[in-house]
Amino acid sequence: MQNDKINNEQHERLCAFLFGELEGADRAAFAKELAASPELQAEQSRIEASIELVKEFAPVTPVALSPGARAGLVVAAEKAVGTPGPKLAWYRHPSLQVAAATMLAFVAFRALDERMFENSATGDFGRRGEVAKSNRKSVPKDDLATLAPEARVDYLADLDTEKGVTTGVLAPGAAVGDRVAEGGTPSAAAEDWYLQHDRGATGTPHSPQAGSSTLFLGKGGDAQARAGDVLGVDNLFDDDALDVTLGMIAVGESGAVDVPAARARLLELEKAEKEVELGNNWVLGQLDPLPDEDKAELGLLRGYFENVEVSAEQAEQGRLLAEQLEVEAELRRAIEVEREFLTIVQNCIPKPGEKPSAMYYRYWGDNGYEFPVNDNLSTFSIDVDTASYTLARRYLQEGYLPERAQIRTEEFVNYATPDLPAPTGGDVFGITMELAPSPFGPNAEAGGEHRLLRVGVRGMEVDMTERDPVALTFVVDVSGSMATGGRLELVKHSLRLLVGELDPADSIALITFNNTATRVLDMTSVGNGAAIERALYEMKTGGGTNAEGGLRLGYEEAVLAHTPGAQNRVVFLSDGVGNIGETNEQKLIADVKRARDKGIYLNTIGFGMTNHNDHFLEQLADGGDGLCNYVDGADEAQRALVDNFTGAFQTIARDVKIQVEFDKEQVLSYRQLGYENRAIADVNFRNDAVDAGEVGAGQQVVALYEVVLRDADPSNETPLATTRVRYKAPHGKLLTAAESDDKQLGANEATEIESSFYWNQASGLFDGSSIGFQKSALSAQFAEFLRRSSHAKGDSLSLLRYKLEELARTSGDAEVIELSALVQLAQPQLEPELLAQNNLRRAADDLQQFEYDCLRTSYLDGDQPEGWLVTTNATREQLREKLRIEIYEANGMDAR
Amino acid sequence: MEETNDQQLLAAFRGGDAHAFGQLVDRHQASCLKLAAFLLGGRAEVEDTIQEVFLKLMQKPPNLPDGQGPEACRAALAAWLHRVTRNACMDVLRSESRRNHREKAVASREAAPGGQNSVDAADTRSAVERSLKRLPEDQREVLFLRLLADRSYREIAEMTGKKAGTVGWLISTGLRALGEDLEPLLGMGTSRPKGGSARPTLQALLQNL
Repeated sequence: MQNDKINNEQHERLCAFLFGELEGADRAAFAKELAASPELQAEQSRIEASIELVKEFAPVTPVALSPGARAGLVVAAEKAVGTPGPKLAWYRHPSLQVAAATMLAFVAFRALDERMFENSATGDFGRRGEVAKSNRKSVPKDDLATLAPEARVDYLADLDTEKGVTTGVLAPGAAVGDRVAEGGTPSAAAEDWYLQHDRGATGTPHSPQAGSSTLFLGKGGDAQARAGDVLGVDNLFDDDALDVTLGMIAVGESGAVDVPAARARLLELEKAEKEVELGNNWVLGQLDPLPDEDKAELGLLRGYFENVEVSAEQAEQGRLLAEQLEVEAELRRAIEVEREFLTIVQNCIPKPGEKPSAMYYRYWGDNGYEFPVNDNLSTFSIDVDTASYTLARRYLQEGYLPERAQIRTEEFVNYATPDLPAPTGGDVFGITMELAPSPFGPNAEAGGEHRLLRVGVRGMEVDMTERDPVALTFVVDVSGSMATGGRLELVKHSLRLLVGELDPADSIALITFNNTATRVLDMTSVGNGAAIERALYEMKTGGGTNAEGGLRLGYEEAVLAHTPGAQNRVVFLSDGVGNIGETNEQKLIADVKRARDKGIYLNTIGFGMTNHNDHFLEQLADGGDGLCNYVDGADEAQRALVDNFTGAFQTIARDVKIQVEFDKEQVLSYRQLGYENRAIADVNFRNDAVDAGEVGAGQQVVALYEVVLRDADPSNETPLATTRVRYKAPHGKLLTAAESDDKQLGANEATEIESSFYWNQASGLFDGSSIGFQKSALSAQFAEFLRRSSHAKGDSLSLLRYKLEELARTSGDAEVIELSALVQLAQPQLEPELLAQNNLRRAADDLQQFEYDCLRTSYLDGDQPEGWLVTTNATREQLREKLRIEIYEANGMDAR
Repeated sequence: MEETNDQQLLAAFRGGDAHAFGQLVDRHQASCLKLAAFLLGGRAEVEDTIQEVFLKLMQKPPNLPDGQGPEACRAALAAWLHRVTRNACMDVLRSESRRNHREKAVASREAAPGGQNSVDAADTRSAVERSLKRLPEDQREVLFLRLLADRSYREIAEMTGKKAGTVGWLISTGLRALGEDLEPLLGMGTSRPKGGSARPTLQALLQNL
């Protein structure tokens, strides 16, 4: 970067110069220096441009308070000047609000489940309950306003804080100050405010307290209803609720309440002052001196208490309140922790009618095992993307661990080219299956019970000379960020490579976008190389990212220049589309799909990394039935655009769905690796209205299943698994001899083919399986590690590395060598993460695993004997208690 | 005619004239609001924070210099309000980082406003806000005073209680970081996509295929 040559001192002087802080000789000297230095000049314009941006786009500010807020201040001022003195602010002291909330939460919990408190944090809860009772005063509803508006204000203010509403707090502040001083009835302003708030809050599901009631689902609907009652704002006027609110504040009745509150505030300020003195605040570290206003308040408070004769009773009340506040703060933390615990426990309980696999997915985000006795069909849409792998590779090579959510196992598997046989006899697809023991999973060393089934589907090749002509509309991101790391240069390089593959029957158009979309090149025959090169050459970066505008103009061009009989396709190239907003994203994807139905497809190619929004790029490509690639360098550009040209730009089939049927007798359970967001409901396999992925010429797709067999009988003549592929012909021209014999297939008529696999075809050893099979299996395992998949728990990264190194040696395969290098790069960072012993996580995992096992057992084997239930309940209690202890531990508290 | 100075307004307020306080609010609210918005990144708490600030002024007004003219009073009060506003904002930010996750959950649900035309403006605004937010608090504060409140280094030093040299350093460091951060956006100006509504929609075009 150019300004690296400018040292700090120069930079400071440059700033001072620009802001007119340099004078006389200094100024002249620097002006000379500036005139002689291009670096300084460049930095000057950068500073000026930044300032312009900040001035133009600084956060939007209202120039004045809203009329309501201003009026509130004036009202407060009126009250304040009427009653000088420090009382005003104290009722609003946060600890009182906290206390009110605590009491409510406490009573809610108590009403919900008495038992919980008996065997949990008994001491505190129990004692607190008595205090509350002893302080209770039964108050007729009508007297609420006259007796304790403070409590109501606090409670409502607290609710507001929870809801994120803080406006309006001010007005009652003044009103209460007023009322307290006069010791009489509340002012009209306060009354109005209550009314407004009641109206505003009624019916709003509010605050965590209400949320906590759901934790008790299943422990009696009555309890839940009561929780709602206690906490509902409607019922604030309910006698029970009222008692609670008063219980907290009862130490100081109406008119006197400000004294203990002030006392508490004084104590707090004195404590803060001491802390500053000792410099030992562990939360904030180095402390600033007490703010002036706090000092002032402290002075006033001291003065106040010196002048006011404090009765013994009042002093006692103050002390009690301070004590109480401390207990309540402790309690509140305990309740938070308890709530956290109950949320986890609640989430561990199966949902009504939930299948074990669904529960598994809910727990860990990975596909769980399915059981053929209940569901022997696995149906999914084909996915030929590889972006997840290339992006992860880039991260690893730059020394970072890729994000978990970025890893899609199926794309790792797809990247490793499998060695599937090509279809024969004019078929569009060939299906290949292979089964071998998994080197990972339980007891793998001892031969293992887990096997991997690879289902491979390979599309027919289309010779470059026989392919359809293409009409490609490139939509290229030229925003400022594309200048980083030579991204635009890489785009140009990629496009030149691509154009090199095309011939004069093909045509391309070029759209660029930054803030605006520009049509740089109308649809032009590739024969006109000079025009294309000129357009490529002139692309320059700068400005923002209006991806939506670019895409829309791209489609406009693609539609206007639509070439019948050609493969019409939009190709979107960007380093990330920034924030389009959920709604606009969905609209855009809908439009992409609509265009696809008219035969205009969409490919997306990601460049660079920092802003790479690959999820959206993937969704776009899915909507446009095209590929999503990620290009991180010249090699990848070659692979994605040249080597795989027909795969990327020559569609051979669309709406390609795959269904694997497992034999109920031979297969106990199976799980699919990856394809989490590609699942299709089994019943929709033959529903041709449900769309699915598209396949380009020569593409190979692999799906892996981990299976557990019941018993292995080589003579069994029933297929272990059968794979069916269902697809439609692409839009536009039809290609193969076989298909032209069939005349024109109707655009929406689907074809289905199938192939079966028998036990006697299985390999006995992983190392005895084909190289392609091993590659697929090991890529998948790497992805599972990077996903921190629950299935990879306990697997050894070193074993994976060893297997890959061995395979690299025996096969000499470049992809395996690369994979092996990547595992080596990942290991130092990944391994500690995989091994990290987070007690809390593990306790939660154990409980989840247990609940999953229980559900699976009853799901597979039906009702269990009485004894089983007793044992499991005991284990469940143990696991929950363990979790509870860990949660308290993690929060720095003792569960007892 | 002679304008009532801040000192006199405060005295009037103490003497029972609530409207004098209103006038003080009118005089100083804009700069307080601007500072709060800048420090808080344009969030909803801005107005509440400023209400708190004026409440503090009401309860514990500072002692303004006697007999040094309206300008000195005004500057002293502005400096006091600046400090109180800054502290109040820091309190908001601190308590916010504590309940950060809650905020995040809300923020992620916010959709970007507007259609195509506002996308780049909104993009840029949020990029600028993000870059500002990434700066340390002290840099953000001095940059605000220099860039938006147009204060000299010396004035900034007085308001923040820092040395003028420190202020210069903070401004330079902050601008450097900002420039690097905003680099991709620089030179974009404020142009907007042209045309748009006059064009046929994609759907209409597709109809003709």
